[in-house]
Amino acid sequence: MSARPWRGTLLFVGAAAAMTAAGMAKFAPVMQDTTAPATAGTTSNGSVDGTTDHGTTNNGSTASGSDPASTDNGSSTTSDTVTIVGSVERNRYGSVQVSVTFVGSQITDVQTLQVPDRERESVRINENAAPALAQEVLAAQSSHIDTVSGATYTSESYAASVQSAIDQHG
Amino acid sequence: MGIPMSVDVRDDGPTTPDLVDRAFAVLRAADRRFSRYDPASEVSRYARDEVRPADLSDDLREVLAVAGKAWEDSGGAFSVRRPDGTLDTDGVVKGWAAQRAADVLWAGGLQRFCLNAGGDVVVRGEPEPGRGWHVGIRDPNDPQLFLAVLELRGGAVATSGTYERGAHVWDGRTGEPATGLVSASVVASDLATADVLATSVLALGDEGVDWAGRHGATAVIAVGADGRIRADRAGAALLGTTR
Repeated sequence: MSARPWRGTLLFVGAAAAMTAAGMAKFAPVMQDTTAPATAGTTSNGSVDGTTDHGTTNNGSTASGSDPASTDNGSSTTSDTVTIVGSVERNRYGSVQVSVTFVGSQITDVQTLQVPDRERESVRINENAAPALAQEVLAAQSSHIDTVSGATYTSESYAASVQSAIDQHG
Repeated sequence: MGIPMSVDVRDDGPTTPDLVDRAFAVLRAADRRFSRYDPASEVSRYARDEVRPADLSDDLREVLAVAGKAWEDSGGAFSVRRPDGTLDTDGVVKGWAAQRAADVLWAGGLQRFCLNAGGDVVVRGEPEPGRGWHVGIRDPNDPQLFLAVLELRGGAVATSGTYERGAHVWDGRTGEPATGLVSASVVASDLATADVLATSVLALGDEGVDWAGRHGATAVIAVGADGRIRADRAGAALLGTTR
């Protein structure tokens, strides 16, 4: 694949709410070779940590620097964390679906995401699923995550720990 | 404090940096127009009744229309009027502006990109041939864990939650903070819709999970204050079931 992906991050900096004043842009255009994952890591450092990579301006570094510890820990830890959502398993009681989160090769979390087929009713599900089922799912699936949706109106730590990990993973 | 906005473009082309520039300019313009912290912003002037309805910009008019529709659809649970009566369009603007930014990329010919505006996501196309974008839904109880992973080739995901800013979403029907759910993620065809629906679901509580499906959501995944997951039609987007 000869695509040359482009990644950039804009960090809005202002008071504590969405779309606040004084947005500062920092761009990190990258000619990225997909066979060189290290490039992605550099990019995410530049976009998230507000350090000197790419010679970009980041007047928001005081704000993003307010939470730097979780940032660095987060990115290294999270880059090993993968959640895999398995295929729908059917049994006599209905359909069961699980997601499994790993740190490295260690299962750290199992969630049940049962979805009723073609029904529009919401369901309430216990958080813990059968570990055996999770293992089955693990065997069948592999995955990585491109981006994260979360309630992150103001969270620098989120941006730092998760998004950078995603970028590096990318 | 700030809102991280990132764009990941997989198209190969010389126009990409310029398009991304223009997309970010859309976000900055929205930031200026809708800032509650800038007394000179249009939304601030409007809140002080200094802008006649006839003089409203198209942008503000559109945002207020989106808010009005959400208010009606949700039976008043979603409201841009805070309990104290002040105007707060933040619940509409972020998703609306980010979708517009994505539209700039799309209109410019980009077909494979992912835009993430502070945890709200728009995707188009495929990051790699043969697979859609993998969008992790953050676990509200742990920023390093994911509740689910969705695979999408087009559309938007927005998440509203109490875990980052406390109970900042209120139920417009009662004026009380919404506390039944700690997070709500909504998948929809566009981010303006997904964002408003996610906030509405949080405001509505449990009943909002089904409600959103009737108002434009293609999937809903929410977590209650009791830690349990509520899901509605999440199957189509859940990674592993789309193949």
